[in-house]
Amino acid sequence: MKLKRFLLRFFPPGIILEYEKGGDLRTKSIDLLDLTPETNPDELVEEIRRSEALITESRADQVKELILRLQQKQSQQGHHRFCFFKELKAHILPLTNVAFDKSGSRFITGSYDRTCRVWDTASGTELHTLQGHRNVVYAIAFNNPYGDKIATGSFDKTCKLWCSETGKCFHTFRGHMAEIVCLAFNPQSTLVATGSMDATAKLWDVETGEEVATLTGHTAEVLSLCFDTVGNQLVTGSFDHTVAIWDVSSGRRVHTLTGHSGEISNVQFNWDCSLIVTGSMDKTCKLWEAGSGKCVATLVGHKEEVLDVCFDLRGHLIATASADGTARVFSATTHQCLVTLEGHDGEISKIWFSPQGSRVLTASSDKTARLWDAQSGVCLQVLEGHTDEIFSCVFNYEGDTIITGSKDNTCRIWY
Amino acid sequence: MGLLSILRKLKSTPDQEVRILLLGLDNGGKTTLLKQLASEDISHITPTQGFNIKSVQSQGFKLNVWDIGGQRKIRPYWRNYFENTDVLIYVIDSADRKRFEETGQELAELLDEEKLSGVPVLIFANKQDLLTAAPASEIAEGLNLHTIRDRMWQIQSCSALTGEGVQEGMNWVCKSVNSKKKKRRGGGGGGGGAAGAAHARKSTPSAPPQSTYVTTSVPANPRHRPQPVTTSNIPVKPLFHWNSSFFS
Repeated sequence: MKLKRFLLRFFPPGIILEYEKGGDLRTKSIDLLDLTPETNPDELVEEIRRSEALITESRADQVKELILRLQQKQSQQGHHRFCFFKELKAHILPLTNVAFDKSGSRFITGSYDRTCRVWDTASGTELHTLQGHRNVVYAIAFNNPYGDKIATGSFDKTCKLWCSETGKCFHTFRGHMAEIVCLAFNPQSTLVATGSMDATAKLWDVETGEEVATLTGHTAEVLSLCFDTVGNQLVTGSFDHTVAIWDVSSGRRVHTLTGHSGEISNVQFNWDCSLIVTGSMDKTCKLWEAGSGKCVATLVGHKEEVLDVCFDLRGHLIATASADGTARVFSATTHQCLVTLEGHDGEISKIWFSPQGSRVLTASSDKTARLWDAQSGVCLQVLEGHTDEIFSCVFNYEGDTIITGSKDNTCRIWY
Repeated sequence: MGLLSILRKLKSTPDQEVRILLLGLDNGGKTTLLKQLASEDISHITPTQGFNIKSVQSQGFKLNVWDIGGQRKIRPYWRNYFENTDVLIYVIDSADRKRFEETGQELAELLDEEKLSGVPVLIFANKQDLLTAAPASEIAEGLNLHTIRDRMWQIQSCSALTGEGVQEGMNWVCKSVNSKKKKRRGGGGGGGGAAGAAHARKSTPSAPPQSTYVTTSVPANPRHRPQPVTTSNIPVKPLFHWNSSFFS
């Protein structure tokens, strides 16, 4: 094995090693999820050296330098104040979801007008209209980190794969018997997973356009899904109140997570693939061990349905959004509620952490999006201007740009 | 509402929930009607650029009403909302005689839609508070409603502004749903036959067109997908060209 070069990953912090083995170029990641600006870099280098043979004595100084850069990046966070930049009259009907590419230079919007549009973030100009679906374009995604493809899932029961550069349609995935409402690329960008109102999820081959597997077992609509960070497992959440973990290579069900007494609104793996968080209409969230499928905690406190839930990128925190108009931040380790985010005047339907994990972004039916300090729970900013409820919101990878998509047929860019 | 709540309302409904689609030309009064149903303020209503959804309780049913914008450029997107519809409510501006032909054509196209086949249709002859409003009987005749044989239908004069006639219309909606769901459960052999409803006149609500209505619903088969029920063996497509000879 021979180390060829280092790559830095800011969010979550990590060092990627590119190395040669048997003539093949490979990569492996050293995740530094607990790194803070206060971490002693020399001690950390020693720790890395003990567990990673590729990091030899001669590389120690280089690794230390990388750690210092990661720490420097971390201490930059948290001071950005967002300003309204542009309103795009993006569609003639309400928007559904919005998504960024990795660099943040482009984003996409889905709509009830049956199109997905590709936008240039800096200028707000439209780059492509992805046309061809015969009903609402609901679920959309870039194949990040590559960003050369876009997948769109529609109420027309099909999923389409597009070239993000030219807007050309590569494949139409047919086979679902009802609306497609969630989708994701695997991290390698070789597969697309789709979830449907037909109670199944399917895996599709990006290259050939063929169906690879149908994941059957749920008895009601599959509303959310998520690949783990390495792409070995997929988790699906259903209106049948259960969550399923699937082995991606075989298409077999590994675990069924039962315990919620209401429909599942969202599911997500944490970064190190050890935990799964689920939000439910039963007003709670649950944390599950991905390996055993055992429930390790139930996060309570919301007075109404939990409509969205997510981990921060490091997997230390969990944010929950509820129809009770509040959001909460929980510790993923102690399971305690750390702060309650109060101020919205309507249900909160979407929630995200900033890539740094220091802020929380919420979208509400009160027509505003809000930015909160994840530690203190203080509302830092109210993003006002939409004339109807906000359906979706996202951060870019750097955490310095936000897109909000609304029922008012527009999206807004906030720098 | 949020996207997730919309998906929940999109799925096939349990027996005690009813999915109602509110369509019609722009400025027909659909959103006013929706807000009237939900007992909300109707003083600031702007043209609907997308859709509105409200849930109201009525006679043991939860009515999920979808109000879809009626402007010409977004009418092609009405199809987005056809799936799982239990009852179609079509709203007509009774005072806008210039657009009777246009509204008739749109309605004819809707009744031709495969996904709406057999779906009961209530036509609201709205804006009866205006002096120039055409009576429901005239509209029914002009639209040749009496030729509809493949579904239950009803025309009801109303004013979404004052609320007059709205409840009568919704009563018919609940009755037709009851009748349909009863059949779906396999118990509705009795009624059979064509279901052409007598149209209502102002202030004299018509008798129900069928005698097989039940007033209580016993939920069975929740999540069962509604099956279109054709009430006639020989569906007759109505002629929907506005024909002045009907007004002689």
